[in-house]
Amino acid sequence: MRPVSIIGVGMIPFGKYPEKDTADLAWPAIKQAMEDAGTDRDDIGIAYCGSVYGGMMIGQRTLTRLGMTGKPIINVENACSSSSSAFHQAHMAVASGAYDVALVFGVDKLSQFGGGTIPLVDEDWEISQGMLMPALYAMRACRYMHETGLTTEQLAGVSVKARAMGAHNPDAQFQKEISLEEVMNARPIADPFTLLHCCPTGDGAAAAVICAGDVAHKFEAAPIKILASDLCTGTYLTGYRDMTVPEITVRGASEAYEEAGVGPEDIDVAEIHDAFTIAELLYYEAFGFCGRGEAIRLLEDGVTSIGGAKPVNPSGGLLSKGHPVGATGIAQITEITRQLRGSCGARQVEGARTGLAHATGGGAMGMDHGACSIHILQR
Amino acid sequence: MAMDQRAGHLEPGHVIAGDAGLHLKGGACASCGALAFPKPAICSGCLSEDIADAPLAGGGVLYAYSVIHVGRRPDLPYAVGYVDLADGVRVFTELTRTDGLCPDMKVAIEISPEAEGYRFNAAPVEAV
Repeated sequence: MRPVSIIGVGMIPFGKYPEKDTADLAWPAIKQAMEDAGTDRDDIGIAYCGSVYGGMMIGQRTLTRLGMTGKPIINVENACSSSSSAFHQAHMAVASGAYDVALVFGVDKLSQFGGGTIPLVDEDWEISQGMLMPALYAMRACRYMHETGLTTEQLAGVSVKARAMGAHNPDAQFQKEISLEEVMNARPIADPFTLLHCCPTGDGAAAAVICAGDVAHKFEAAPIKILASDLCTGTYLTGYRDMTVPEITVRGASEAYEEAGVGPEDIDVAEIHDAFTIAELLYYEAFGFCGRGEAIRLLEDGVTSIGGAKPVNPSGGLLSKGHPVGATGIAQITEITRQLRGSCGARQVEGARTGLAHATGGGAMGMDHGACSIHILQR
Repeated sequence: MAMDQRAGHLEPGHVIAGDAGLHLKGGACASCGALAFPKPAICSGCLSEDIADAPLAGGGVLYAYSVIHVGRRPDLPYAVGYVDLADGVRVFTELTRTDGLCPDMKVAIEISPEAEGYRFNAAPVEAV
């Protein structure tokens, strides 16, 4: 396997575009990433598309608009990890030597459902019994609060921090700060979550161009190195399971750190999967940014805010930037790439050299999550 | 029917009569002994397809819960939770009430006949 670098990224501002086709959400992000990379269409050897609700051949339907046909196009569905899983596949395709340059993008249009919780597959017995993603995360919160003494008010602080970060991101779905009272007093969804503990539904697309490390300089003066590309699946259990320790992310983090040759202390900036407030805290601990039960201290001490020692979700995260599920993984990688380039303006993490992106999801009975993909990048 | 409107309804195949009335019907692997619910066609542990019907424990402890305020059901809010049954199986179920709930409290599984199957949920058996 050979080194691989990111040479271009792009995304459209996340939001609601009910009048657009899914494919029309995606092509502007791809064009932006291609221009950012300085690649021509003929440079791309293979393309991957991550999407959950884009439907059959969403990759092909998108790339026909850009006249990028003939080469292999592969569609990847892995719930919230769809485009990060696609990125993992693209990385393998280039690292193996099979292709020199690959395009990977993610897109989804949740506005087609008109709001509410995302549709799940009711062949799964728990889902047939009414399991909803907010309920799943809410039970994690319930148990974590029971075991550690975390309060609902403290939990609400995660959203306040996310919105404060997103306020500086022109690509975020929400670009306005909110108060603790607004989070606490929003309408209830699944206790202890009010609406503002939950990521919004929305539409979006993001794209990246990756390239073999030894030819990256032809396109980009300062390519971003991919130190680790990890993908794993939750361990299936029929019995008891500790919902306060997300085993899939703990395992993935361990694999990614080993592959990259770095540890949690080396991560300067991270984009992690904060689909609901509790997730951000569980993942601080899963990534080893702090010990068990200490996550709220990191948040309240400002360690994970811009200017802190370990900024997390400077883009605003899923809670503020938005979570068009299939687009999320590449949008996180786009943010980390821009952070490592130093091009993030008011939300820039000064001097960031090594960053991490983490997308996990998929409600599946007996698993913490269906999929988890972690990437560690370095300038 | 919307999936969240079917919550609490069990198809007849998920219920079995046991010593103490109706029980959730799990599967016990005849080869390795693993217990699972719903009863699987194949044991995910040892791949044996010899799975026996197993009446699951009628009670356990509430591991975690949430009161749900959204969705298409007419009876909002309602509560759901994970119950850790005494025989080692975890079951996702609706709870009989939305107040006075606490993790680790004892609950009993209640199953009663209704149209085209059974109604099931978990009822707290002690005060918080």
